[in-house]
Amino acid sequence: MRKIMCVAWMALTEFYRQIPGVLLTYLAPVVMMSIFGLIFGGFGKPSDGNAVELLIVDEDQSTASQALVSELSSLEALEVYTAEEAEAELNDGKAIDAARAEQLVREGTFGNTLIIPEGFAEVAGNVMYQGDYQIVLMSDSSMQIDQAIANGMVQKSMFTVLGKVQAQDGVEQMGKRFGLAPNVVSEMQQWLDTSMGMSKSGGGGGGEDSGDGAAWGIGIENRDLLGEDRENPMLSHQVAAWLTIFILFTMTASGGSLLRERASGTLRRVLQSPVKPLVFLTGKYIAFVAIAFSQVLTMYLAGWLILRVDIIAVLGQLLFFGLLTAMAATGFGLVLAVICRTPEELSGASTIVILAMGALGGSMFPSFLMPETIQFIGKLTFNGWAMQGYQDIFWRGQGFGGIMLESGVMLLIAVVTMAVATALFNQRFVKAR
Amino acid sequence: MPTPLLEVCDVHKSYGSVHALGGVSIDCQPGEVLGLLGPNGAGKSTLISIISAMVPPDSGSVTLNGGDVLKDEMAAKRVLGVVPQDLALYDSLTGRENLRFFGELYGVKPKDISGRVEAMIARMQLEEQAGRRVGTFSGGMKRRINIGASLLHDPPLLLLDEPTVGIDPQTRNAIFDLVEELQNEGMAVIYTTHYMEEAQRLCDRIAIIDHGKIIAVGTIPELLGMVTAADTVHFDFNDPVELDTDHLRIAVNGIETVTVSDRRLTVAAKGSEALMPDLIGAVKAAGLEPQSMTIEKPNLESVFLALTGRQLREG
Repeated sequence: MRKIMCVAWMALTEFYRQIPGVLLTYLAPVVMMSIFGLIFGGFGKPSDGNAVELLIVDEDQSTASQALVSELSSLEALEVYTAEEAEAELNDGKAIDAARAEQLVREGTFGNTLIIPEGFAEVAGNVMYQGDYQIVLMSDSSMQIDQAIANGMVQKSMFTVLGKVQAQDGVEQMGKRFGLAPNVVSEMQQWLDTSMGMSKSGGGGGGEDSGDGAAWGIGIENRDLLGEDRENPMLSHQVAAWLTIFILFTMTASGGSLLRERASGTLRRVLQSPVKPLVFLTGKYIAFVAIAFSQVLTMYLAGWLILRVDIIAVLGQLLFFGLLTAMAATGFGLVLAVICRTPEELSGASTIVILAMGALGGSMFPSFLMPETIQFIGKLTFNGWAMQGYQDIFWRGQGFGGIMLESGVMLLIAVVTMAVATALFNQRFVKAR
Repeated sequence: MPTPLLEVCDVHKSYGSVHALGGVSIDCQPGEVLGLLGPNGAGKSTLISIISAMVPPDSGSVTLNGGDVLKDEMAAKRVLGVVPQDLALYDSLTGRENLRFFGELYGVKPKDISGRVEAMIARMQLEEQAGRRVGTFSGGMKRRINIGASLLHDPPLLLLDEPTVGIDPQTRNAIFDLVEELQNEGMAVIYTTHYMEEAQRLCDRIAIIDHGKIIAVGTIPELLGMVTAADTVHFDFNDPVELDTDHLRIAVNGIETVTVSDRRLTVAAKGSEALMPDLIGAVKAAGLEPQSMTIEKPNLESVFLALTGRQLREG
């Protein structure tokens, strides 16, 4: 153990005495995160043609509420699931009510859910309604753009459907009041049907207002399920994104010290001493994990201080997952280092691999903006799982239980990469000496 | 006959089709300085790697301090100090930190490490510089730390691999003095070099290695006695030499060869001191007036040349 710590001390001392490397490790990611945090701080981009998921729980089950469901289903921008359709899709034998729908959004199964409480038909048909009845749109606000689209589509559909329902009701009331013949009332209603039907393609009163909306007296309550207390989902995305990219760069650069030691002869000298290769590599690993974890902590701190990302509420999970992320990144960096023959080769290879993984894994662009195939490929990368873990912590407010899968994958990556790195180190650095 | 500290028996090593070592056998006694002399590529470094348990031999055995190096690699490494040819130090660590690091790796006890490091710094005369990063050291200072890092655990056997390559004369002399000091303290040293002067000055015995084989082992007189090399006498003149070389060879009995090159006349003869009066007389009789004369006795270079047909530094 003493020799392991001795090697770790040497590696840490070496690292922290290289001022440019230290600046790149701690300052560069903070600067990048801050710049992109400011850029993405207040806006997002439209979705890349992917339909936005919307689970609808219709508690009213009236003609009017069905009309709203039908209207929403007809929109290409939305991929609507009724409760029945969702139950069939999930096939877990559980009925979907408002509470379950909310839970499904929190878990990330659906991006948005619309709850139509009982009484919709009653207030929809009342032109003069001034009460506090509201339909509820609950969203996963880590998908900020999807949330805005869903909100806009619901408002637009409400205008369309309510206009139609209330116009029909108004004609009927007028017929009764003025004693119009039923066939006249019917003709007027048919005319309204036709003209209101035409209005479906007219754009309606939608918009990108992320606050609560209202359509002809019925309010739309928007609930941000995952980031109720957070100011902007793109800011925490920036923390996670730059963290997962820079930690890999730092670790491959640190792993490159093995190549420099081989070139300078110090590795051979160390191996000529009574130190087993695994002891040496373990010492290096401990030092690199410490460096990576300190970089993670720096990013958390900078995110908290500069971008006002709330880390306090989820600090335990962040520290736990951050340590696992550091371990996985270290293993990855060591594998890349022992595969390469020279520091120059490592530098080139790591740039390509890390940028590719960053792009596919959602570090550069939110993965929900990507086609499904790319999202699947992203799940095969370190970044994909790390980003999902951070998203679960930051936006779903998940506890330790909620990040078990991502944590397990990080641990698996750490163990597998360390095993591979050890085997390759023995083969390429020790036996080939 | 004392038990050898190191015994290498019939060691073979090949890298693919290249036979690096072909049946090498040598031994080293406690307190002895054994020279390993050979040109570049002769197999010296491979032999050092096998002795230091860095590379396993294809066959043969290596016994160090009574233990089998192949069976207990770690035990062997604990009784060895290896000074690599390269300056294998961490540039961003100070001289003191480098010594401490390698001392720790060699298992120096925590209570002893500080004292030993400071003693080594004093021995290497680096008291003022030891707190600076090695990257700022001169080549000579690095070389001293390089050696010091291998001595902290007080090994009974030190392997010095070409320690004087690319250094200034002052540092070279300091290394010579250190090797002699270590020998006086009872440490055995294996000193690899392709400089015969170093081997002649420092080594009790010399093993000459070429093409992966030990071609001769012994003290310097023993090695010189193995070959019947002649002395070489050089006469230098002010003007180009014109001489019937056969006449000179006939005139003086015992001359083996006579060669003329511009203003130099070179004569090879065994026991040149005895022939000298006749030789000088014959030269003067030929109408030549030498300005200077030098006699070269046979040396390791001559031995190597005689045994291999090549100059030592031809490589």
